[in-house]
Amino acid sequence: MKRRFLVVVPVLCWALTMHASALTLTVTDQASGAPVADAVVALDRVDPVTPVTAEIYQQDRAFHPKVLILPLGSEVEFPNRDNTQHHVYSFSPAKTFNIELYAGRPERPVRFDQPGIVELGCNIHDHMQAFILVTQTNAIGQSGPDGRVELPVDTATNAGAPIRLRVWHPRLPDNTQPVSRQVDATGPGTVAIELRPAPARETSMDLLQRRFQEL
Amino acid sequence: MGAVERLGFRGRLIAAMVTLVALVSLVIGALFMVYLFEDEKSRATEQLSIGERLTREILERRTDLNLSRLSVVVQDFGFRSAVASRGPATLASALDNHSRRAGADFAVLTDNSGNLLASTLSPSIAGGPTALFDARPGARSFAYLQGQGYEVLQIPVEGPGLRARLIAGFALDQSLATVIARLSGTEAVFRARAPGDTSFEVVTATSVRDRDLVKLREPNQDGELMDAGRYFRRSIQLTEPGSQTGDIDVVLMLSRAASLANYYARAQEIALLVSATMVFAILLALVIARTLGRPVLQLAAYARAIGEGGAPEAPEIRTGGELKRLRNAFVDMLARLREREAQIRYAATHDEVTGLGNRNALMQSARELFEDGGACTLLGLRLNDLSDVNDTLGLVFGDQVLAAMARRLRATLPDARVIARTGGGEFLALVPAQSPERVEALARQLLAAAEAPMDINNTPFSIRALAVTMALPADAGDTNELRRRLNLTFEQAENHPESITRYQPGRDESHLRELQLIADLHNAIHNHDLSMNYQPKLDIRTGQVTQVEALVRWIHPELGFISPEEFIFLAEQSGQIHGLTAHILQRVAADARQWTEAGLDAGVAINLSAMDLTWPDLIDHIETNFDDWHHDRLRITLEVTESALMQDPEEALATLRKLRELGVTLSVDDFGTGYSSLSQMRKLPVQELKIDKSFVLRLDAEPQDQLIVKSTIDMAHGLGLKVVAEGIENLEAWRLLQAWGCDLGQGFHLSRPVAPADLADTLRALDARRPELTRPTMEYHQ
Repeated sequence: MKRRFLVVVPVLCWALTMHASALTLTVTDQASGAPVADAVVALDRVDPVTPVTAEIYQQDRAFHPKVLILPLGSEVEFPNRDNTQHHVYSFSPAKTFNIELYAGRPERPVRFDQPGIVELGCNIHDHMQAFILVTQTNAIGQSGPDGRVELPVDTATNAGAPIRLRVWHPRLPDNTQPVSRQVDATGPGTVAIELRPAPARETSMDLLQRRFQEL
Repeated sequence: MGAVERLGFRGRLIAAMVTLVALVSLVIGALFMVYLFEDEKSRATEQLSIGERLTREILERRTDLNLSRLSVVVQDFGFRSAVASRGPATLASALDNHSRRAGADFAVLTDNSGNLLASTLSPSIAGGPTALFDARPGARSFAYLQGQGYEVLQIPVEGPGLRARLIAGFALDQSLATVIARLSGTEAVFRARAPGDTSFEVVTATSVRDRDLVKLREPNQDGELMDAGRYFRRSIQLTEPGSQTGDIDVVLMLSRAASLANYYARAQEIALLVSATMVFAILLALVIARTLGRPVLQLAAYARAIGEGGAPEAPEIRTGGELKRLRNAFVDMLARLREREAQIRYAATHDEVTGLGNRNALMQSARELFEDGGACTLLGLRLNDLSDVNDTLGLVFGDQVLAAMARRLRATLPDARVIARTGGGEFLALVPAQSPERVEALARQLLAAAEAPMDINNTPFSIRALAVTMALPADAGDTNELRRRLNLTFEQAENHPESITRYQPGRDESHLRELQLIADLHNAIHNHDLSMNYQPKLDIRTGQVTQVEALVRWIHPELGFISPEEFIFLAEQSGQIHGLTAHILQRVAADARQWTEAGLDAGVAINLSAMDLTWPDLIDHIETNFDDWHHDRLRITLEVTESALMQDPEEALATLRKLRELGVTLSVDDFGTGYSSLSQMRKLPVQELKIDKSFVLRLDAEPQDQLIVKSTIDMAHGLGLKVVAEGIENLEAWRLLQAWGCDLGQGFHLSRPVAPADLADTLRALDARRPELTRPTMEYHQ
């Protein structure tokens, strides 16, 4: 897992400046109770967001990063750093686009101007997958390995009422949209989500293929 | 049993062998056939099992193939683009195109919520295509749609941002059935039924005839092997029972004819084998029966010939063993039979004591003589007192006497045809015919030889004998006559003073007459053919009839008048005397009743036989017959002859006493002829003596008789007895008896015996003669 300094760190910094208090949540697996990493948790609200320019590059026949939280209206570059061409596309209703086989950097970035979850794929590498979460909120974060995530909470508006959350994870049964959850505003809460089992590790066949690639 | 009897040995042998062979071969054949059949059946079952596994495998492979085709389709970018475009026309055409690529017969596209996006199926399907979506993604199901069975596969269409489901149907078509059939070696039939239906429809079939397919419409249990038709079959259910998409089966069918062809071929061979074995068994049985049966039949014929008394030649038995032994046993048996027969014949014709012939031998010899018409002389010898010798000196001694006698007879009669001992001490010999004088001489010679002293156990001994002779065939024409007349002659010889008695012709005839009389007397008594006559007895002093003597008379229809002496004697001989006496008592009583009714007054006198004195029922008979007797019982007089009283004085005395107690008068008849001792007379409880008529008949002319009669009268009167004289033939006798004081008189001079009907007239006539009878004649009163 590569750290995503480029995107995540500025967002977090920005969020902390906006809010007085923070809500700490733990995302757990509904079945096993284990903490879930890489879950995206957001407050169910609409904030004024600032579009950014982000990048999802392809290297080693994979998208990097796999999950990108993107403010509404941002643009994303898809540079290809592999020695093979890629055909990046998405059929997601939030943003359907199609960049035919290319190498290097596509002509122009793709602008994401509808909130929602956009799943990316490569037409010639079926296993390549990435998600772009186009959001309208600043209170959004990804859980760490311990399943914890902190969200800035506006305590003034939330006068003790339950806080409505939207939680997403790549392994949700339907990962085309987030699930809704509610937690008490008072203390650290737990959010349980149902997950599909993690896909098996890369097969030996893939390893063999990779060896071929590296020759 | 009868059938078995009729079958005979040969038939039974064949039947037994054939039955045995048939039974064994049929059992073995049947077992073999059953095993073979089961084997073929299990082979068919095995083949069907293999077919089943194969079918499942083929279907699996096909599914995998179709799934992989479908997965290629759903990953096709163009297809995904078309799905993502959401344009219905685009979607429909893409779905049609791409499902063809995968070789699907129909395809349906839905979103993840199951909403229909596009379909190549006609919209007219009942319940809509959504009925097909109950399967899990990637899972296989089978559905029955529009008369066709389909394998239905569902596969998710998942692209980046794309979520849909593709449902594709692959028809269970002829080619699939053909593949299954070819690989499994069975016929394959796909059949299906819509949900809720009971009978199946055949969807696809390889070369199975229609009329066999009809049977497949009926549901059957999974794994059922047989149906009623020409196939072994097994059905493999492809769908869960009660599936919403209908039931689909694959039925594997194995032609029974084909799979059992092997079995039928074996069956024919076995049938042939059994038949051949049977034929062989029959032939073998025939051969055995011939080789075994002929000697048995020969032996049977031989045994029958033995039984018929012949002396047959024993059959040659070539086969050894038991039959040979049986033949030898028969031969042995025949020898022993002959031996025993000889013994029996000897015993049957010989006397064991003397070794002479016996009665059979003699009679056989006589029979031959009569048949040949020859003549010879019969000599008979009877030893007197042989029983006394046996009693006193013992049977062994008696036998020695007989043996000695036999030796002497043989010596005396060297030319005898046969010498036989025919009874205790009776010997008979047939010698060649001789003149009467010669016969007499020969008989004397024989007697002399028999009576000559003999020395037995050092005891000098002699025995008396008597001889009889008969000339054959003059004196007897057949063996029956011979036996009868011989007995008669011996009987005569017993009472004959001479020691040699010759048969007198005519003797036998009188004997036969006696036999006839004895036979007829019985009937005469029962049929009242005897008649009663009554002879009056007169009081000599008054001339009055006081009594009538009952005399029985028998006029034989063929032989005429039979004298009472003769037939009473015969009645005594033949044991009919008691019946006769009872009959007479009854008749007399009846007649007496009639006289009384007619006004006649007479007592009765009845003669009793000597044997009546020992007859216990006599008293009862007299009592019952005369219980209504109108007079004093003294007027019933019972006459018993003097000789009868002397036969058994003690018994007679007892009976007479009883009769006296009845109150009747007892009279001694025929007095003067019975040698009675006066001492016994004195003891007898009698009241009357009846002087025998032999003294009275010529009383007027015989002085000796006069003396006897007179002294008898005096003696009787001295003993207190009345005296009756019978046989008074003339007036002189009457007068004499009158003069001597005789009490009663009876005789022809007075009256003959008369029939009961004439008695009244007779009495009247006698009454008329009373003056003549009672006139006193002084000249006799001296």
